[in-house]
Amino acid sequence: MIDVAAQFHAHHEGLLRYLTALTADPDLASDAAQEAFIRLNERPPATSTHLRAWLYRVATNYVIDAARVTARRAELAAHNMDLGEVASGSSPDGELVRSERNALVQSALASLRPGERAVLLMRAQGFAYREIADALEIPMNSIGAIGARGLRKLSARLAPMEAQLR
Amino acid sequence: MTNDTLLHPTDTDLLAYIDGEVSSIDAQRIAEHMRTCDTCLSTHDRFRACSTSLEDFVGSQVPTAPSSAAAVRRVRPPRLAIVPRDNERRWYTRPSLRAAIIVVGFSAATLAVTPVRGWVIELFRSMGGSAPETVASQSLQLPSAPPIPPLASSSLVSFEPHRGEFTVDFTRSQTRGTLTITAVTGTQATGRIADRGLDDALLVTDSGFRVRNGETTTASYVFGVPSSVTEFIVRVDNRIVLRGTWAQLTNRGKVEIDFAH
Repeated sequence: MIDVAAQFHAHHEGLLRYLTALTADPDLASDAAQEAFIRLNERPPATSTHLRAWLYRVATNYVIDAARVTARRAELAAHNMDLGEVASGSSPDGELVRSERNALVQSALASLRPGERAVLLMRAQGFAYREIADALEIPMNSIGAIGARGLRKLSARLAPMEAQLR
Repeated sequence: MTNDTLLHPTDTDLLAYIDGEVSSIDAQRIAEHMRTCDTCLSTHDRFRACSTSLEDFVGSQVPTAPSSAAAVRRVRPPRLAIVPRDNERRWYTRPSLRAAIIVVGFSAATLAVTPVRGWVIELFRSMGGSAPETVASQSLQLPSAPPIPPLASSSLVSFEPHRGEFTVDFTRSQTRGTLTITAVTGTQATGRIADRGLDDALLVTDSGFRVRNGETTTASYVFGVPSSVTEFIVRVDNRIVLRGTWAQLTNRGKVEIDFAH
């Protein structure tokens, strides 16, 4: 029998971080995380192994379905920042630089396909390729290619923007 | 990876190398190659830097961290939140009407779910700071497998037979309420407190509660801005044992449900 409370404590925070990064929508992220644990409680998987991947799969599918149903693309558009002001204004403190960099990353993520985004965000949370493949239900030997493609796009967008921040 | 491609590993190979998803032999070959190939080394460094930015980014997404077992993961504001004004006395708070509702509710429950066996419902209410008083209890005969009765508008409790005892304490203000379940059962059971809003969304506490043989477990559910249209549900072993609407709760009360063993 699956200890839902233990699974919640173990995975909820990481799952919510991933979903928030994936959607840039805290409400949708929270809905998706909630759905995953409700599903775990009410319709648990047949086997308790790879539960983390199962939770991420349920939550990711929820996000995809929600976007399809509401015809809404997750609003990952770039924050309209006047980088000229940042460059010429007073020196930003560490916190401001960090938040600006995060905004850049979020903007760059928006340019990726959903699958690329999901692979990279799970990878950023320390998922092994097998887990990512299990969660997203794609062949394991595709993970590297999808991730590399996403990173190429990401780095191409981040490099010029980060240069302006310096 | 073939020997030919090892001369210049693909981006996929480099990423797998960074992620430790290549064999030790291939990892060694890629590392040796990068000692003499600035192009591949540059790609490798770019991927690493980008990966670090992503890790920082994900780590900076600060969710509302759940607190202890009593945390509410999220409260969804009901679409039709009805918050009484300070000086408004809602009709269901009037003692005479409330008493009438209780009598009608118990009568309806008895007629709707007869015969029932072996459980006693005692409803306590306290007014202000006075100690709760026992309202007339009622012994009902439970059939072996009664259906879950629908939630009647005047009924605080719908139930299903289950082993054990559960005490529900609730407090409520205009903006905040707390439902506390204290459970002692003769066997293991898993419970969950949930809140259903107008859009039928279920809010689930992180812990639910688990009771073991002979032990007492307490779980609390804290909610914000209770709505007259929001229903709370307590499940045990995934069956509903208690449900009602927040509007039916007065400022403070207590429900004891003694199930047949």
